Amino acid sequence: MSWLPVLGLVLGFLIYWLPVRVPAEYANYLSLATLAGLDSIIGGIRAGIEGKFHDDIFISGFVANTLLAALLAYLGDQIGVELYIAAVVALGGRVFLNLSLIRRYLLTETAMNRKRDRVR
Amino acid sequence: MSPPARGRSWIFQVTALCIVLGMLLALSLKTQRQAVSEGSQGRWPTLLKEFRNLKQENEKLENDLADVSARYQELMGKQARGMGGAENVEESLAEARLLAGTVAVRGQGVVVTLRDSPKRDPAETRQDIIENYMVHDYDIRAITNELFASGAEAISVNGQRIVANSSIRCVGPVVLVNSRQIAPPYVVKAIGTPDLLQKALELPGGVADGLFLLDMIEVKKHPDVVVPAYTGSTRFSVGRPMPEEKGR
Repeated sequence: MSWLPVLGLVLGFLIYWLPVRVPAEYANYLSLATLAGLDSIIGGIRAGIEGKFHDDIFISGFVANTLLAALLAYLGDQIGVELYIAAVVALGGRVFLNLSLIRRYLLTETAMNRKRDRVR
Repeated sequence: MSPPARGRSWIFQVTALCIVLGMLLALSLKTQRQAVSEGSQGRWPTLLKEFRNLKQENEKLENDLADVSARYQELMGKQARGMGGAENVEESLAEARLLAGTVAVRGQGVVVTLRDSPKRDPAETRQDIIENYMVHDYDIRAITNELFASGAEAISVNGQRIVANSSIRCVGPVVLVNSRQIAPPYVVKAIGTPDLLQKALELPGGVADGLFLLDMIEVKKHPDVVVPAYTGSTRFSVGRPMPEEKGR
């Protein structure tokens, strides 16, 4: 079951070989959406492991973060200050934070399982 | 807030978003690759080789020219001292006139038209932005320079012949050539090998690159270009000619 998301990634990546073209001006927004997606996924996995996964929070999180990041990028373009860096730092920070929580949870779980098995 | 997911069912939503993420990653990668490949360097080694060959050929021809020039001077001297001295003077005079620009020239060449860019947003009010869409004296200078460098033998801008002492400058919004006012559209006529002249102007990254992008320039080859004579003063009031040195 846990390999399902990986399969999803590979499946989604197949679009690379389709004759789809993205205008170069949108490249920036695309990378921000990618980062927001990564953050949502890692956050979703963490919430799922903790038993606190909520559908609406998951989807709205991705959409809202992408929109805000795009808005910052656009605004930054207009005023000449690279505001999108704020989005990169915030989203990147959350990815690492959630990753470490996932890591702790999994390691604690395996430690507890081992203890339980030993007691048995 | 919707109820928390039961068991491991949340993994499906995560998978769905993973598919989206995979697509975003693929598209980002593609767009990056596109941006890089558009500046490919495939032909440079070949062009570099061609350039070196042409440079060598040029040097050899320059040496030949020096030899021939010397021989010519020698013969001219002999002729002038002997008979037929007057004809030779006529010949040198005609040659001098051509170079000086005091006689009109005709031949094949190119006609370059420069005008303000039609791509300017009429609602634009920032002066520095508007300036970029207008033809300036430095544009005309760059074009004439490039044409001369590519072998143009005679050039005129809006009917003003460009000679050795010609100036192209602007005073406020007006362009002056040979200190005479000219008005847009600026028509530059040049006599020379049409292909060479056209290709030199159309060189990517060359002096006219920006002008082409903003639709400000038009280059047309012409089989019969007439470049008028220079109508200004040719008097030297300060300089005096220096005697020619032997063997040059």
